[in-house]
Amino acid sequence: MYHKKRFSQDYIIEKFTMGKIPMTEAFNKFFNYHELNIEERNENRYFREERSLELNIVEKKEKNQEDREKLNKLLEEMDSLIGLEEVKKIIREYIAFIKVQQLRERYQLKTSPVVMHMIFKGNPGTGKTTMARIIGKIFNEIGYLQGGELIEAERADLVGEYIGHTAQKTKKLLERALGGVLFIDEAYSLARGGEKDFGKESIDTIVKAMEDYKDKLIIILAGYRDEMNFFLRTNPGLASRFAIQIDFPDYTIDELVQIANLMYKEREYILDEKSKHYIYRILSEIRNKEIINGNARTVRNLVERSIRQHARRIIKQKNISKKDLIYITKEDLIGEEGNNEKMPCNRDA
Amino acid sequence: MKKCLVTGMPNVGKTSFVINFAEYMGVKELKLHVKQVAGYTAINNYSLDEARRKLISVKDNATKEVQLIKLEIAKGKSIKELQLIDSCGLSDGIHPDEEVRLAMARTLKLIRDTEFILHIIDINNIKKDKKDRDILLPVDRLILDYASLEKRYAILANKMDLSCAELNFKLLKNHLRDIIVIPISSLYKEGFKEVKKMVLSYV
Repeated sequence: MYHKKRFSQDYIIEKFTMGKIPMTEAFNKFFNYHELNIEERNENRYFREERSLELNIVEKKEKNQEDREKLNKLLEEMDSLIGLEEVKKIIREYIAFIKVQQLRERYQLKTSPVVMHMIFKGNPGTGKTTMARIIGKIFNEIGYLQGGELIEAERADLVGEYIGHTAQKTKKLLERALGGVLFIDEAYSLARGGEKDFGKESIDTIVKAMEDYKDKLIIILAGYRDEMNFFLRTNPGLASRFAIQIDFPDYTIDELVQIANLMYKEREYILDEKSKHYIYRILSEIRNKEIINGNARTVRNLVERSIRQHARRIIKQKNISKKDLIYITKEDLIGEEGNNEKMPCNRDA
Repeated sequence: MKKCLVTGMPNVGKTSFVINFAEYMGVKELKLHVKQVAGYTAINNYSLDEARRKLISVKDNATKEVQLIKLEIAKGKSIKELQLIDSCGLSDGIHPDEEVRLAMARTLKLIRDTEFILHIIDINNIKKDKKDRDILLPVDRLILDYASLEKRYAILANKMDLSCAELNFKLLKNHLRDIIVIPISSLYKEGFKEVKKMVLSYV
């Protein structure tokens, strides 16, 4: 990763020493380096980007523009997630931190190692996986990760069936995830089985990999808050190895409604006036029943079900207008009688 | 400790300036810290005459190592230390000797890392053709363009003792209006008063 690579100032020196470029060229490239803006230098940095030295400046600028736009798009994508302000702030902080470390390294100042392993604590449907996916993309873009993608795993993917099988299985998965993000959902289940459980072997392998591939891989452990806290307590080494622990709070009802609206918008549906109020009620009642289930995933299920419901209602009509196709009504949200058990709102119906 | 880099093209008199300036500043015996390629610093002791005999040469790129001299300068009541760094000269094109190229690369890094740069120019070596816009040689121009913006910087126009130097100096002075140009002759220790003033303002 970046702090192991030398930068192209050194590269120019080396080229000059080898007698490949004359003094004037070396001087120009060595010092004009400082006049380039940050992105240009970033892009110009690695030895592996040898060719970029030969590219003319116009091309470089265009490429930078593209890169910057990509990063901005990803940040926009992150910002478009509703709520999670705390999480977004932390991620932005770390992006800045990594960038500054990269810059400091160029001026041969001391850098502190950046270890990005994370723990996500929160109830299901609070945006952990979505955030992990975006983080993977962002850190790919700023050059911390290299080309990998998000690999989601759970206990069954890590733990084997017989002795010795687990370490191999875990290792294979880790190797697949190199250069990207390994996202382990419900990570606490690895520690649940007690001493004799193979889960422990898996944890040991992961911990070792965290040290070995410190900067080639981001490992994210996710799970319910209480269970994760318990998990971290059982394994004292773990808590200190995961410097970044992020709490994903439950969405407020307002946020849930916003999410629902966004989901409908994405699918090109609109809630009509009555159903707008009604969805608020449905969500708050679900939330009151059991907090764990009242999150974004529930909203998605609700939205998808109402869309199916809407289709079922509309197909019976003789003339279907465009308006009919777009607007979701209160009846769609209530659902059919079979579903009423889940949606405790049949009083109004 | 403050550092001051003496740089310029080969054979403009960097080493002789360093030695003679050290003498001017009251150094009796030269303790030359020579940075070896392996990384450690060797200390070579020379008497001044010995140093001149051994270190100054008419050949190009006589200095290959980075040589440091510590100067103690009385400023007011306190004594300030200044490290005078002598380095390999930078020449245009690709030098055939790899050792020299390596030394030049070190100089480039030193230019980057040092705050105070004394750029020595051979005053007889500037282009006199008036049609040509730039009277400086390409390497000198590069150093000037970079260092005058980024660093504390002065040009020392060396070899003022030679004939026709006066004329060239006027030309140069006209050409570089907003840059400090100090005429010196490192061989005869002329113009060092100005340099000392400049150095004093820095430490």
